[in-house]
Order: sequence, then structure tokens, then C-alpha cells
Amino acid sequence: MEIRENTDRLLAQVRVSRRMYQRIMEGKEMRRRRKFVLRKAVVLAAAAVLLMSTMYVGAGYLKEYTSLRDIFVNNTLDEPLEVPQGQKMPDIYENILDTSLPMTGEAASAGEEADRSLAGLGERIIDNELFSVDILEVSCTGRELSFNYILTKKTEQEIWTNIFIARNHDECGTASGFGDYLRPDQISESSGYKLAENQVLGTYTQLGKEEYMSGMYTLYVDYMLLDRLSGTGPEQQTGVENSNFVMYETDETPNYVEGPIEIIGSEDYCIALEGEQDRVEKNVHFSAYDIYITPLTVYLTLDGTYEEEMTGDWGMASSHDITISFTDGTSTTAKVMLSSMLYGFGEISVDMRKSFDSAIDPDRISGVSLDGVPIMGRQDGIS
Amino acid sequence: MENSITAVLPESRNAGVMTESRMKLLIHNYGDSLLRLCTLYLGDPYLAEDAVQDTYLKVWKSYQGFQGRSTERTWITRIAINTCKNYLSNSWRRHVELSDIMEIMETGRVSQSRDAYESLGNTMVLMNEIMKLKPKYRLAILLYYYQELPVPEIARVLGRRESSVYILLKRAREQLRRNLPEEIREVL
Repeated sequence: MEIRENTDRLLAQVRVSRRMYQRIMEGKEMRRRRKFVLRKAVVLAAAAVLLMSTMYVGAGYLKEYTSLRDIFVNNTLDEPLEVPQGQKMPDIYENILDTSLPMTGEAASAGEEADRSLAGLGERIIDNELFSVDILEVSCTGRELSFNYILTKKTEQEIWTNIFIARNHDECGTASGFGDYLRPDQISESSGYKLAENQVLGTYTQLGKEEYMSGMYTLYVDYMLLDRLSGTGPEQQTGVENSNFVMYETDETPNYVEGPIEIIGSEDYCIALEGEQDRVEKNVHFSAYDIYITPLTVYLTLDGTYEEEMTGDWGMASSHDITISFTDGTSTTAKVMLSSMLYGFGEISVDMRKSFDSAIDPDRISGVSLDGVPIMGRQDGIS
Repeated sequence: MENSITAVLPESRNAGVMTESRMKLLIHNYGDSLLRLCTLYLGDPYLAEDAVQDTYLKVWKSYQGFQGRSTERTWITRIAINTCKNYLSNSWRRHVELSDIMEIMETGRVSQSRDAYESLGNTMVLMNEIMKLKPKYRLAILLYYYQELPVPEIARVLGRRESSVYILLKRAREQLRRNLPEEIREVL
């Protein structure tokens, strides 16, 4: 059997068409032109007033209260989290309990309601034999999209998951994302939240390359089932609950499931700054920056080119200071650290971020500098 | 574009300048083969088109950096494979739609003569099993049997040691042999 020859005959219609050929040649031209476009600094609108407001997906609730995401601030693996007072059973959940979840049988007492797991409070987006995902809340301002969820595991097997939202499979529309989750024992009893043993409370924040518009999106859950291989690895003291070194055998390509989710974009309440720069770090020359400041987080993307070899740990030790001045004369400096990096064929894009200890008001920002270099407005107190 | 013109480009060369005519030749000489390789690797003919387009854009940009340490074909194949791997890293594109590919192959098969139609049946069965392999095994097999690259070249394309390529091929063959009828098993 002539495998190559036969395969070519079978795939005879799979060939570079004239249209594709033209697109390659035209794409080359477009790419060459794009490289020299002068990028002007722009400040997008900062007029909305929805500071820290959160929208409940699908139910239309809009309340002003601290986002559930704050639960994750100062999260450590060692002790239960103290949930801020303002976060304890916000009214929104009571409303949902009252109106969205008809009880079966006898009406539930207040105590029973308190014991009910959080999963019943959200909108179930994913439900299969392995797990379900309930979205508790989604907040969306400009390019930043945050959501909280309950992941309910239905199998004894270990599962690795990665949850995010995209529109029409457009993964390229997301610049970076980060998240965390809490197990039941990591939430203090006084918080008013209660998880079942097979649940985790997760949060995820992602930065789009463009503003998220209101409409239907898709929630994706990458998952892999992990098989614990007992007794096959060397025993080591790891300092975690199980001191045995545990190995997992995984399928190298995660599966995924998806479900529709409605996003209600709010008016942009963030500041976007982009422009050119001329900065050299080791073997990298950065030529463009993109800063995005939200009430909770500042993001920095640096684009450039590199020479010689590039490795994935290049950006691990890198950090940049973004100093934000406010109209009242105060300022704060955020040291952004590596979030993700893409590189290849001499081009590199580094995403960095830093969440603020407490929310800021982008509407009060009067100036921004990157590593001491003013890029917007007046720089009070910046040398 | 069928490969009706013999290769004009030297396999090894000094650092050169990419021109439109050179680009056209690169597309002409390797385009169809790359597109088919990407189609089989990704399991998605449309995504494969994107991958090949991306590949050639990268080729255009980085051609000056090509130092001739590998053959031009190996160099371009490596770019294409890395592009595909980036695509595969996006979860929703990881699923191989076997039916799409097999449908395309069946169309190609029925367009052949009756004798050829019969002989192509075994290749379809083989490809069907290859498509079911995990990506790393699938890729090694495709590079070896479809691209007909020698193991040292596959090692360069994959950025692996030759010994690990041999292991990949060995395990891939073992998996294929378990599922293939005897007459097809012998070609591996």
C-alpha cells in the first residue's frame, strides 16, 4: 500500500485553492502594513456609575453590593476565609430564593434555606453525568468580565477543569484570564455560604481584547479526568494533606462541554490606554503597550520582538510599576506581574496584571505612568 | 495547487530574501501537502486552511532567519505543526470530526477508477484508525508515513530526540495494529 500516494488521492479535493492562495498573499501585505501603524493613546469613556454593581445572569437582578469575588481576596489555602460583612447573604440571593426556586413538598423553613447549597441559587449552565456548573453572578464592565460559579462534582474521580466564557468560539478575543476556587472547608461558617462536600465555589475574571457587548455567549468547561496511580510514585513529604507523592495519569487532550450564557454588558467604566514605546528588556524589544484599568484590577499587555531563544519562564521575574494618580492628589502604585505570555517566531506578547487591595474609582483617575514614564494626564508626585 | 512543477527552490541555501515569486513557489511546492497534513492532524479541513495560511505568513516573516540547518520542507513543516499545536491547545478545537474527514476521503475515492476505488479502501481504513490516535501519536505516524520524513527529520519537526520519535512510532504502530485487519497491519 502506497500510503502517501493513496492519501493524496483520497484528499484530492483538499488543496490550496485560488482563494486561499490569494488570502495568503494578501495577508502578507496586510501584516506588513499593520506593523507601522502609529497607535495613538486613547482614553475610553469613563462615565458609567455602576461601581461594584453586579448583575445576576438571566434574572435581571441589579443590586449594589460587594461582588462575591471579594471572597477570594487574600485567599490562602491554610485557613477559612473571613467573608466581609457586606458579602454575607446579600439581598440578591434572598430575592432569588423567594422568586426563582419553588420548593418541592412542604415549604422550607428558614433554617432549611440556610442549609441549602449555593448551587441552587444560580443558573445551571452545564449539567452532565460528571459535574454541573451553576453561575451565581456575572459582572461585566467594558473589557473585563467576572463570574462566580459553583462546580458540583458527580463522580469519585478527580477532575481538572478550566472554565471561561467566549463568543462563537472566539478564543482570540480574550487577552488573559485568571481565577481561583474555594473548597467547602475554606469558607468560614459565619459567611452564610455553605457548600456541599462535592462542591467548590469558583471565580474567574477575564480580559477581552474588546469590550464585551450584551448578548449570548458560551460558557466552556475544559475538563480532564485524572486517574490516581497509587503506589507508583516515590513517597515524598509535600506538606499538604496527603504526604504521599501522588501521580495522575491524564488524557493529554481535555474534553470540553459548553452551554449558553447571557452577558449583560454595562457601560464602560474603565480606562484604556495604548500606545507605542521603545523599551528593551534583556533580549526583548517592546514597541507597544496596552493598559486597562478597572475598579479592581490593572492589566498591562506589552507587545514586542525578541532575538535568539525565548523560553516560557522569561516573564516570571519581570514586573512593572503602574502608578495611578487621582483627582484628589493621592496616588497608588500597582506592581503588575506575569499573567501569561505568548511568543514565537520572534514576536512576543506579555500579559501582566495586579488586583487592587480595595476598589478604585476609574472616574477619578487623573494620571497614569508606566515605570515612571507618564502616559496619561498630570502625574502628581511622580518623578 | 497540484505539485506539477518540480521543486525549484534549493533545499539548503544561504540566508536569502523572501520575494513574491519565492513565496509562490513555496506555496506551490508544499501547500497541498501541508494542507492535507494539517487536515489529518487537526481533523478539521477548515481549520487546516487557517493553519496553513498562518504558516505561510510566518514563513514570510521569518524567512530571513532560516539558516538552512534543516531542509526547507522540514522547516516549513515544523512551523505548520507548531501552528496546529497552538490551535489544538484551544479546547473546542480539539475534537476530531472523523465523519467530516472520512466524507472527504470517500468523495476522493469515488472519483477514482474502479480498480483504484478498491485499492483505496484499505487506506481509508488505515486513515480512520490513524485519526483515532492521540495527537502526538497521530502526528508521528503522519509525518512518517504520509510526509515520508525520515526519523531524524521528524525529530527536528517535533523538537524531540530521535529515540523518543522511535518510541512514539512504536507505540502508535502497536495501537494501530490492535485495531487493523491483518492485511493492512502488514504495511506498518
